[in-house]
Amino acid sequence: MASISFDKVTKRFPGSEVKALSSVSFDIGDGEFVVLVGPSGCGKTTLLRIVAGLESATEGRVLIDGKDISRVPPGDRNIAMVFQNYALFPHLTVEHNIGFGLRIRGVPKAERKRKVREAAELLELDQYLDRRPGELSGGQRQRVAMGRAIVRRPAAFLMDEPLSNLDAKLRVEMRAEISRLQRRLGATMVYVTHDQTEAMTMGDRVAVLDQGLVQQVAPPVELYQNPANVFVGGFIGAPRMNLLRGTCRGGTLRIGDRPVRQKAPNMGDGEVLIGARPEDVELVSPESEAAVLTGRVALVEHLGKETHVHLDIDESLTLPDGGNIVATSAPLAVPQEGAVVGIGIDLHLTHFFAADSGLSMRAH
Amino acid sequence: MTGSGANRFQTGVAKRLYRWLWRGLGGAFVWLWVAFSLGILAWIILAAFKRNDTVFADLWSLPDSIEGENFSDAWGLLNLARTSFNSVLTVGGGTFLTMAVSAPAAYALARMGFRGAGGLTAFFAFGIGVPVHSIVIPLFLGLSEVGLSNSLTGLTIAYVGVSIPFAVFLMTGFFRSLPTELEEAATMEGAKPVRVFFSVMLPLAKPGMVATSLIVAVGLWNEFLLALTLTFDEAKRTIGIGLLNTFGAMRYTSNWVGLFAAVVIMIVPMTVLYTWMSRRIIEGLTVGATR
Repeated sequence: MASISFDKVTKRFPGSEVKALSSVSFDIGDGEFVVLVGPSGCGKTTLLRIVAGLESATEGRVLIDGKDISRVPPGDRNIAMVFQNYALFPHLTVEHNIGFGLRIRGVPKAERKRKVREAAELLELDQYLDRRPGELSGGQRQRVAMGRAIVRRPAAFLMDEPLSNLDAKLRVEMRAEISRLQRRLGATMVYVTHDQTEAMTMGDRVAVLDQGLVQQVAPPVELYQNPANVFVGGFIGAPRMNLLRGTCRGGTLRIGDRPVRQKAPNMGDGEVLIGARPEDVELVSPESEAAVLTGRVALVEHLGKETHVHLDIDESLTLPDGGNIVATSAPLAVPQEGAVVGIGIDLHLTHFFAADSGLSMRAH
Repeated sequence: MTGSGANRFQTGVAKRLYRWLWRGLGGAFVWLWVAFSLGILAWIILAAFKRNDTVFADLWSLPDSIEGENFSDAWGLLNLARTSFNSVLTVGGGTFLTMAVSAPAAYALARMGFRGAGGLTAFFAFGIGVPVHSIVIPLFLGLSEVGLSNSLTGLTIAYVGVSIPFAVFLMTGFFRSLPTELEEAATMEGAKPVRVFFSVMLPLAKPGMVATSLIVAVGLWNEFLLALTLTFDEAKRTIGIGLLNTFGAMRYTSNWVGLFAAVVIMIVPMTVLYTWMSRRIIEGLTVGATR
């Protein structure tokens, strides 16, 4: 297995002034499972393809085990990749698909057959070896793509949204299966997804990208609890973090023109964004001292174990503008739609971001 | 119903009528064309089995008796043993060589993204529009220069030359329609470009290759001008020229039924091949449109 390092990797596509990646630098340890996550067009797939050698960096270097591989052809990097659409060869059987790389490398037939069988057994594909991809279900095709990747024991695995074409149930199963497989093989894995649930549940660490910039690289829980900036705070977590505009003057925090009674953490004077996760927003009586705001219940979503309450508040108070915040409530304590409720926010559980830079000022 | 509702209803009816009219006209035209083509084919086949004294008496009557002699006459007139052998050799060889050159060229043009690929593709497309008549004389002189005039090898080379633009153009479009990920997957597995082409892209391009080969083969089978000008020994003649000779002989013998039998002999192999492979030809030509 191998470590992967990005050293100021920048990518600009021909004919475009916009940087698809901008000076990306971080390290992936040997045997580590790192998830690259971000919205569409954030550069996550481009970064993965640069590691694969399918794209080249405009500037910067990619190092595998400390060696610059920028000029090494994709096939010689000892890396395997699982593509979003699996990219199975439709004219070859499962056996030949899995063994394709071994065949190219001139592995003798007997050894090739043994290795393919081992990989197929690991992925429970042994009874499908004679079938072609067209005769397999989506989940089975996904496994064949995995089999092709693991059979030659590469230094690292790259996965480009491998579960995005599966239905929800199968996706959950395969998520666990890929995590188990990664641990079993002790493999270095770089996994691209736009699904934050995959990112949070699978990765040892998660790298959040936006507009070609790495926003934060951290273990999932840290990412959730200590987002480095307002983008990470808003991107990680579902329903998303509520962001309220506030000002801090002389140690008193105001949301709109309403002073918050709790003592604000020491952060100096200025405009701030207050990030409160739905589970940290409390619904109280409008007259309660705990109410920092009042809002009208716009929509109640019952999910069984919990309920999401969408509240309309003064639209100038939220980011983005729109005046909608979400609170997670216990199923039994749900107010009626249209009711006016008090909104309590515990400042010790909230995140503060500088209004201008979006960077975290203090995190709990 | 409100005024605007009535208007919408009327517009809807008008649109449906209009669509129905066009569909009806289109359908009628297609069926008319099919009936005409099949009618001509059927008439020639029927005529090929009739006798010279009855063939024009009642155009659509069935033959009184099956005149197998017509075909043995035609066999001789066409010098079929020789001309069909020559045709199979030049058409088969020409088609094979055309595909052998065009498939890698089309792949490179479609997928390797080198400088000037767009211009070269356009150049091949332009080649399709060059009339064969305009290159017959230079081609003849060129082949004579290298001692290949009046030879099946020379004719085959000429066939390859005139077929390449069309084959490259069609195959380029076909290779473009194949998913990039498959190439990338093969590259990641360690395959170099030549291996990617032969192990992955060429097998995937089979429907396109089959369609292109068939269209090229049918075109060459029916080819006349090059065969007429580039070969002149009887022993080097192809089946198309054999038919011309049959036509020439018929003017003196009035052996119409022999001529029709010769026509049937010439068109049957390609008709059978086309009918048999029609599904694959359509698949090959439309695969890019549906992906």
